[in-house]
Amino acid sequence: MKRNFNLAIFFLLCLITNLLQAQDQSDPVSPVAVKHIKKFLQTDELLIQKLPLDAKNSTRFYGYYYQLMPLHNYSYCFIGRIKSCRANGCDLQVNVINNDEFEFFDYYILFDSTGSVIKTHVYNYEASHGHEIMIKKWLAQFSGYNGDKELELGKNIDAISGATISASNITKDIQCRTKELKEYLQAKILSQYK
Amino acid sequence: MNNEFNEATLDVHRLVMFLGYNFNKKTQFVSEIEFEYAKDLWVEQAFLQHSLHKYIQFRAGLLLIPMGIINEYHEPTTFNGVERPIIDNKIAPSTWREIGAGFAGTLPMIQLKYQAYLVNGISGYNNGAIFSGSKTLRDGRQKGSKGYMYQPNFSGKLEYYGIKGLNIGLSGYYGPSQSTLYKNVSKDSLHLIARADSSVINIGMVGIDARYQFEGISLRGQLYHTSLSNTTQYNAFTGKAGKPNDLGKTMIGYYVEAAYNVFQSFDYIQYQLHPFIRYQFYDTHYKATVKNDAYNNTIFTTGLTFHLTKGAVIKTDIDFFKAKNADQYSKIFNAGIGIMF
Repeated sequence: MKRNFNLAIFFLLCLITNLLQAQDQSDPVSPVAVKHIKKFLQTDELLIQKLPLDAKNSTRFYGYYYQLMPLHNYSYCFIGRIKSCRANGCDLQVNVINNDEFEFFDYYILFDSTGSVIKTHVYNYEASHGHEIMIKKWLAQFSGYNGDKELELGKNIDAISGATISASNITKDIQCRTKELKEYLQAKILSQYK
Repeated sequence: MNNEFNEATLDVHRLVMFLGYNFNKKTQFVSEIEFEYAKDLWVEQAFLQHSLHKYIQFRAGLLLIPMGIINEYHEPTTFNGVERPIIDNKIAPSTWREIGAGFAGTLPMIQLKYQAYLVNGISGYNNGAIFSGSKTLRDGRQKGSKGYMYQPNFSGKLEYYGIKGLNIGLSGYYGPSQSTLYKNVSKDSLHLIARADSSVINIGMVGIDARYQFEGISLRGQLYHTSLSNTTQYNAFTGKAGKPNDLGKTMIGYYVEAAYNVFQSFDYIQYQLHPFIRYQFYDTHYKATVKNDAYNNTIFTTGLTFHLTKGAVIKTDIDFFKAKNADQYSKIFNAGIGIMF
């Protein structure tokens, strides 16, 4: 009886371990992000096409731009990954994507047809600190941002106690990506008139 | 005004060097090596962290005790005032760290962080009493330096961050103090065991804290309540010259603080200037056999924190202290610089 009980506990622990591992999302950007975007837009018929825009990726920030079809309010998106710097080393010259050495989090930005931010969402947080940036109301501060000003944590973006590094990194990246997209859209408009 | 010279103290109070290593995204080593007063060297934390799951991390090593705000977030750019709040010295003995192991993590679906550790306890006796009404528990920290343990203590914290700008924490610590008198004592020696038992107290500490940031406003508050048991025996055993020691049965301490960035509305000014005011109270004889009003203190602190840039601050403040049995407030002026990068 006791042996059966021990075996049952063992199998239960194995099952729990497998379930926990199954939930582990280490897959980078696209598929998981697309799933989240579809869920947010409440559609299964979303087509996503990669934009011919080279994102300025670095050892700390990485991602791609996409155009969303059909074109409704959410015209563009950026799906990115930001490396966490809990134990530093963020500026080492190693690629952030598919690199197993650093904590990170994944997020996307949805833009309207003019390149203004409509929504920002952190859909996968793999770092051990700084989860506070996932709060929807904090991320809502970026809505409406169109790259026309500098974003500064503690000034026009509320600082977060206990999530300084993550908050600073995502603020920098949203500013950078919005400006990149805006420049791309402006260049696209100009090319139509040439 | 008295007619005496006042001596100022100039000090490199703390210089902390962070040393960390990412073995991979699941396993890290985190350490801080601290120079105090420009000459004393301490390891402030040194632990191995392994992520068992995205919501569960195992930690082992020299851990910061998760009690209140300051013990974990004590970098000088993260708090106002040159010195840490005094209740984080008198009631919670920051920087409080002990060797131990346990689990930590964040449950983002309910916006809750947790930590739970078994750690070495504070020492209350080593060739004499370590605790008293004036020194409180502070000198009992073993800090991972040739520590001795007979029973582990529990330390834990829950932190809710689900409301934008608001963090609420509930910390708990429970366990007996440690004593060298158990060393080599036979479990059959009832007399020696009873003697050693008299050198130990049980410590139960609860901390409640809240931090709120909204635009340029920042508010924070902290309450500690510490219950000590077996103090009658401890005080009698550790007394000197026929006079018992004076460790209290209950200690309490709290503060509330408000600050505002006066440059908040000026987009073209990159600096931040935070005038702040803090009210503190602590009583290490909140409950005691014989109460000493010198241990019942009120402190007003007001000052400026000037952020030159992210991670670099200049601070000034003035503290007004008054013990319950004093006639007037005494004053201390502090000025300092703080950096974190």
